[in-house]
Amino acid sequence: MKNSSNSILGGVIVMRLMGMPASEGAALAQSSIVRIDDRSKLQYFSIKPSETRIELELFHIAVKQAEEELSEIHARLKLANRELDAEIIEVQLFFLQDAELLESVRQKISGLFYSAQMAVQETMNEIVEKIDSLENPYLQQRATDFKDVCWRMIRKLRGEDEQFSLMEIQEEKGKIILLCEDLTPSEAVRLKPEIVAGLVTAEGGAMSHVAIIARSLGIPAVVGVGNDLLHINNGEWLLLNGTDGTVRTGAYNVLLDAYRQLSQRGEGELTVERSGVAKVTHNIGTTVLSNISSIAEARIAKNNGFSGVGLFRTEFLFMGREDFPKEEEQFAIYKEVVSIFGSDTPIIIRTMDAGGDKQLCSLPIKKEDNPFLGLRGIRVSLRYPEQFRIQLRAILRASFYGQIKLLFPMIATIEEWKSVLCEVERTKAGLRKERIPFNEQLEVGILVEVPAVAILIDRFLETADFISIGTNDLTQYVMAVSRTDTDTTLSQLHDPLQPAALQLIRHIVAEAHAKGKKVSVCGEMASHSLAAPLLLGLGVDMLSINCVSAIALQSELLSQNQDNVQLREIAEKALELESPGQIEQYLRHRLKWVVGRENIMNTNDKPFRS
Amino acid sequence: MQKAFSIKSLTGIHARPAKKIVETALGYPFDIYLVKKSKRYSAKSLVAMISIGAQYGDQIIVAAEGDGADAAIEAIGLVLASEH
Repeated sequence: MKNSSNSILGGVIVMRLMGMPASEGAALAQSSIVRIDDRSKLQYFSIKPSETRIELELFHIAVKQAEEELSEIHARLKLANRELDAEIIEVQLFFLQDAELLESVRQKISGLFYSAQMAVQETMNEIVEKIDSLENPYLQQRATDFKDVCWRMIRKLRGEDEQFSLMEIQEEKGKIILLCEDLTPSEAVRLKPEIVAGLVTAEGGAMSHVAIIARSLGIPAVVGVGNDLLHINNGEWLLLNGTDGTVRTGAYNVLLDAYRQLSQRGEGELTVERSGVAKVTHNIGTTVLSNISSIAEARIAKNNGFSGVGLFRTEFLFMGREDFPKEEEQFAIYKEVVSIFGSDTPIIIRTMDAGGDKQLCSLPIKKEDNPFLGLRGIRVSLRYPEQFRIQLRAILRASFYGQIKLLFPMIATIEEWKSVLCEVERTKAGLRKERIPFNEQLEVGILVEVPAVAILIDRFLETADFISIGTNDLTQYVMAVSRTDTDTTLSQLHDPLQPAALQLIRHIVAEAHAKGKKVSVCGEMASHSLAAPLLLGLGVDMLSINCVSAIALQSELLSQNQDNVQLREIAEKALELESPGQIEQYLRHRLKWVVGRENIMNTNDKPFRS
Repeated sequence: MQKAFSIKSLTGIHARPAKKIVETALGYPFDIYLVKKSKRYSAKSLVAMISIGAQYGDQIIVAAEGDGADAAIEAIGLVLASEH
């Protein structure tokens, strides 16, 4: 899609693909292409009536071979105690033995004289169409499994070797750079950093959840590369630079040299990061907390010196599974996070934020034209109060052991907020009755993403104890542009430096401070080396940033001596400017320490695509 | 013989119960069908059990003929009426 360049150097074709930087860091590994199947060309041809017997026999053999492969994968997963993954393969094995599927294929061969391949393809299309027409996103996911099985048979019929599928990437093959069209969030949560050295996707924007998950796992990633991805072969050596958004192919030695240079630079920054957070807190008077989505990330954040959790995205506990985590399971997780940080550390837990681009297998949400404008966040929780109550109970019980605070996503109206407060009180009453201890003083806060809340924030502040601003969503709703958009012109609109978005932040902070309440920012913006000082200048009390991408911010904040008064003045001036471009230029000029650190910044005119 | 059941699981007949139905049905030597809105689906086919698209509250008729059909219908009914 964007300016890619090819050249031939010493007989090796060298390609340089441009995408959007989604997760910082460099990776050097062989490529592994996943689910390219959908794009491989279908082959249509029919057979002579006299060939039906042999074609049926070929089909029978292909089914057997596919079955053997799947059984072997299944056994391997079982051995590795990967029960959930094994179950997916079990379902695929069932599809392979499915009478309706087999019968339909056989009929097409013997009745319509289709080749076996074509018969499988046609049957696959018919059935997938049927499943799609149910408009149930959960079942549509199963259609993916079904297609996977059909393609396995087709590959066998073509005599082709097996390609990787996400499930089958084995550790013994060494680290790989994963190439795919796109990943759903529930696929992305299954990525293993010990196997996947880097991630490249054809679609998706830098703010998509795939990008956020990659960042939280510390997997360097480039997204939105477009169809250029098709030019890369499986097994080709790649150098991925998640900081500037490029992917290079070429001779291994050349790539290795470049990789060494990149990673040396990276290591230099890492050392600074180790001791960073505590000092930032001290110098600026701002608390820097971390965003996490699992116990594993809580440990990483703790090791990196964060003094608490500003955003625990609990929906990731609900994703990639068919059932809901029970109260005890959730309670154990929340309590564990508290015990990792200690009982005096603030842990802000956000209730499940499903919907949008984060679909749960366990909750059937009807397909929506605009999921981001539909059933998501608190709207889902209030629609399914049973699950909401279980989560509230688990969080309240864990609150007894530390400084947990409750944060609610996607609140838009006072009525919603009152219903939420009612549910909290109801849960508390239940616990009191059962004499189960919890923190009676538990603070409740609103995650400001919907402009409606930002505008009427003074009314919400009467009952909310604190405010957190989710700048990714707030910007998308203020600017009316999807955060996952890959269109270059449109994605420029989704820039947290848009004056309207900044003005709204200033309004929220002013209202909150007038009532003596604190404001934190937990969007990607908070971890940006130019935007973070601006937020501090706007009076934001706390920044909550990704436990991995925090590196740059901390070293930058550390190396400057500006105090709050000066930052405030800079912020006021910035707000008078007209466009994100002007504001960025101004910030670069005033916050001089950033100049010359171009590896952190995206130096093209889209400052916040990383 | 046949009997009607209503789906109790909030998530409807998703992959796991669908698989359970097929596993159960394959244990009997006769045909077993699920009927929804007068359309018939073979209980021995996972594809059919998924494309039936049974949701919470749907009425599903289980039909079978043969020796032990009543036991088979009850066994499948148990899955249909399960809350999970």
